[in-house]
Amino acid sequence: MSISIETEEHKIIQRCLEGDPEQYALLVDRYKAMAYNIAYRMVGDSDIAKDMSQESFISAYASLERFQYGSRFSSWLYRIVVNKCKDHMRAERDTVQVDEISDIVPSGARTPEHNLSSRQTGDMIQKALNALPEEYREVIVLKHMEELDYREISDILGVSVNALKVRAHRGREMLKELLEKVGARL
Amino acid sequence: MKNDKGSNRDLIHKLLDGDAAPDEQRDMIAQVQADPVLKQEFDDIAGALRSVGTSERMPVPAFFTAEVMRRLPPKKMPLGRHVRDFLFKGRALKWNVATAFVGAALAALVFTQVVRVQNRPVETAAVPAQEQLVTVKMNLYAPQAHHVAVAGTFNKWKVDSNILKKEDNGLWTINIPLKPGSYSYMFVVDGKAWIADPNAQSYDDDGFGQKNSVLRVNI
Repeated sequence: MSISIETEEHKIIQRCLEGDPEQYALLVDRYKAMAYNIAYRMVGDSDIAKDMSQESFISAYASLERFQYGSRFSSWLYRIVVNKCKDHMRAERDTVQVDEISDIVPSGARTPEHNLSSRQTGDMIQKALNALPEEYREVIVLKHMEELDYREISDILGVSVNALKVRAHRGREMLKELLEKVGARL
Repeated sequence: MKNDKGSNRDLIHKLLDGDAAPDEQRDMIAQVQADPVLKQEFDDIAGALRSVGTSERMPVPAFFTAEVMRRLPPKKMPLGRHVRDFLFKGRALKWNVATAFVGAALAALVFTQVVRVQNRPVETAAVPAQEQLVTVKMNLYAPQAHHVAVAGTFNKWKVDSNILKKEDNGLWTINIPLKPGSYSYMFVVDGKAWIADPNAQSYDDDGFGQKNSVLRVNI
């Protein structure tokens, strides 16, 4: 006989609410890698990503009483992460415009013949992601980097599956153009 | 012509969405492969996604969890919980030499006064029924299990406080001294599967769509 991971997590949440906060470390350990990487792909800066993901765990804990037991803790957490990142980006007004992408890529990386290190490739991918409009970026990150299905992404972002597919469609086309523009080998 | 191009692109993205039925997917792949321009387009976009999907994941910064736990805000406990803790929560007695000396002196004084005034044997105060412990035997038949614990309201749902012992016949057992009262509990098998006691006295709803086992301890 087994029990679903959601039910186990609901037990952990119940114990936190009953005055045993140490139990929350189990959830932090379980989801920190994904939360941190989503934040990093969204904001493109490791320090800010750390702040955003840690703040998200703290906000989730502060609102545990409002957690709906029919839902998944991970979806709820990722929604908080994405919203915090979006708030941050809006506040900072640091979204890079598509036309500016060529200005932020090292000039040496523009020729296809250039032998790029994986670090450089990673940087270029991150810069291309940064150049995507926010609503496309979040779908690309959740669908093609974190490999979530559309239904879960729909729960996280509060957007219909059909609308997400349209965003993914446009986001992929734009991502391809951006990566070609910076000379990344596809 | 434009419409054809648009529908061809839709085909590419339907494939990349990955939610087509197997038959439909096979047809779409055949269509893409039959058209060199479309195939090139598909390869380019799929290549971009592959680059993104296989890019290195960032390692989580050190002490991430500890920092989160340190910054958690204190939870406000409901009033009922405060009252219950005040009445029933175990307390550690803090002492020092001075208070121990004063306490011992007071105890000696009370003792000598009692002996002096009452020239008869001192009766032992009866232990209130609610303070008496009753040993309860719990068991679970789980021959395939490697580890079984019991977690409940009597141990704050901790999964490592009360570990059952396995007997040769596949039965896991434990004796737990408990005060009279009502307790909810579940068995935790191999650290992950939470199961209700099939032999429980009764069950209650745990609020998450599962049933907790219920044990009532009487003198």
